[in-house]
Amino acid sequence: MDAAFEPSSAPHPADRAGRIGAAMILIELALSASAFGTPAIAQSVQRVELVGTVAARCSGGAPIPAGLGNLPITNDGIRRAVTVRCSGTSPALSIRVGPSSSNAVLTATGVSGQTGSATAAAGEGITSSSLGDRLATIEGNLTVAIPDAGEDGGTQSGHVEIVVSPEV
Amino acid sequence: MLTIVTLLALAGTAAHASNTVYAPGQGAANRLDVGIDVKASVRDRCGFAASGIPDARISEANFDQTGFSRDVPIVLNCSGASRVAVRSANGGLVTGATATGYAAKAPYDVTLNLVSDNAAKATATCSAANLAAGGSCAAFSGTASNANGLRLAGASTKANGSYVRISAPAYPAASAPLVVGTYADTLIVTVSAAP
Repeated sequence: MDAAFEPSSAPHPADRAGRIGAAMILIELALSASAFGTPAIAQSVQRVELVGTVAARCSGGAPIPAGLGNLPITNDGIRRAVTVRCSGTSPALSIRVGPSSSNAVLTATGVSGQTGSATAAAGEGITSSSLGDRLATIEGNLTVAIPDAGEDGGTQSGHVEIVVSPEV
Repeated sequence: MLTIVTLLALAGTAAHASNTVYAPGQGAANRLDVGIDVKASVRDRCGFAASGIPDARISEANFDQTGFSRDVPIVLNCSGASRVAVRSANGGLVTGATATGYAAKAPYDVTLNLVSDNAAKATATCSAANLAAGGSCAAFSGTASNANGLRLAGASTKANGSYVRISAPAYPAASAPLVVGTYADTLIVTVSAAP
């Protein structure tokens, strides 16, 4: 049967031709698009997240406990300032004096101006307290004092040990 | 006169036949070829390769004592010259806590090392502080563009050893002490074609 006499309900050959041609055109366009479209790049932005921690710790210019050395005795006894750095929020102050020494006091200054202290009696072991504040970063933020030194006159010797810990 | 009419009729028949196709078995012509001329240009492609590490997270405990040096590999997928730039969100490692006399920002350095397919290199180092908004690192701060960023002259389409290095020595004792806490920063690394 000649194609020109197909039933009217059947697609006309010319229509088929159009669809076939259209399909071929679409294929060609699709291939072309892949040639000049945006290439498959994963991204142009990369993020690097950095996280680090700083632990609570203390350090000093001199070893802790620090040697007080040969100090002059005044009317207020013996006083010596020490500088310690602490990163924590409330360092602990500890002091201990030897059996033959006088009582001693360790005083620390906080960033908000408040002070904390620990007092040790001779031969009674270590005494501790909390500053309750961040340690001030000023020079001489710790003071070791032996108020009664010099009452007996002459040269005296003794041993005082202070420990500053990061947190209580 | 008759000859001319015949030729026109033949011509008309031929033209009609060339545009008509039929279903298989229903006509001689079963396909229609349509030629389409296409003219297109391909721009330089440039980005991070999908095979590269897309994002990285670096964690350093007690970095103030130990210092650190970590390399984050990057794999470019650039068919031509490229530029890479880096921005720092905080300009250093920053923590939320503050206290008088204490530091809440720790400095560190960022080194970009770019290697092309033909082994050409581009390297520069900037401090994180100079990679923050308004920073003065001329080498690669900000967002990459065809005029901004560290330029790699050649194509780079594979893992050539390019990296971003983040490093810092131990925090100097003479500086204001770092307050205890967790510190963080985010680096935004961008790449652009640089024809």
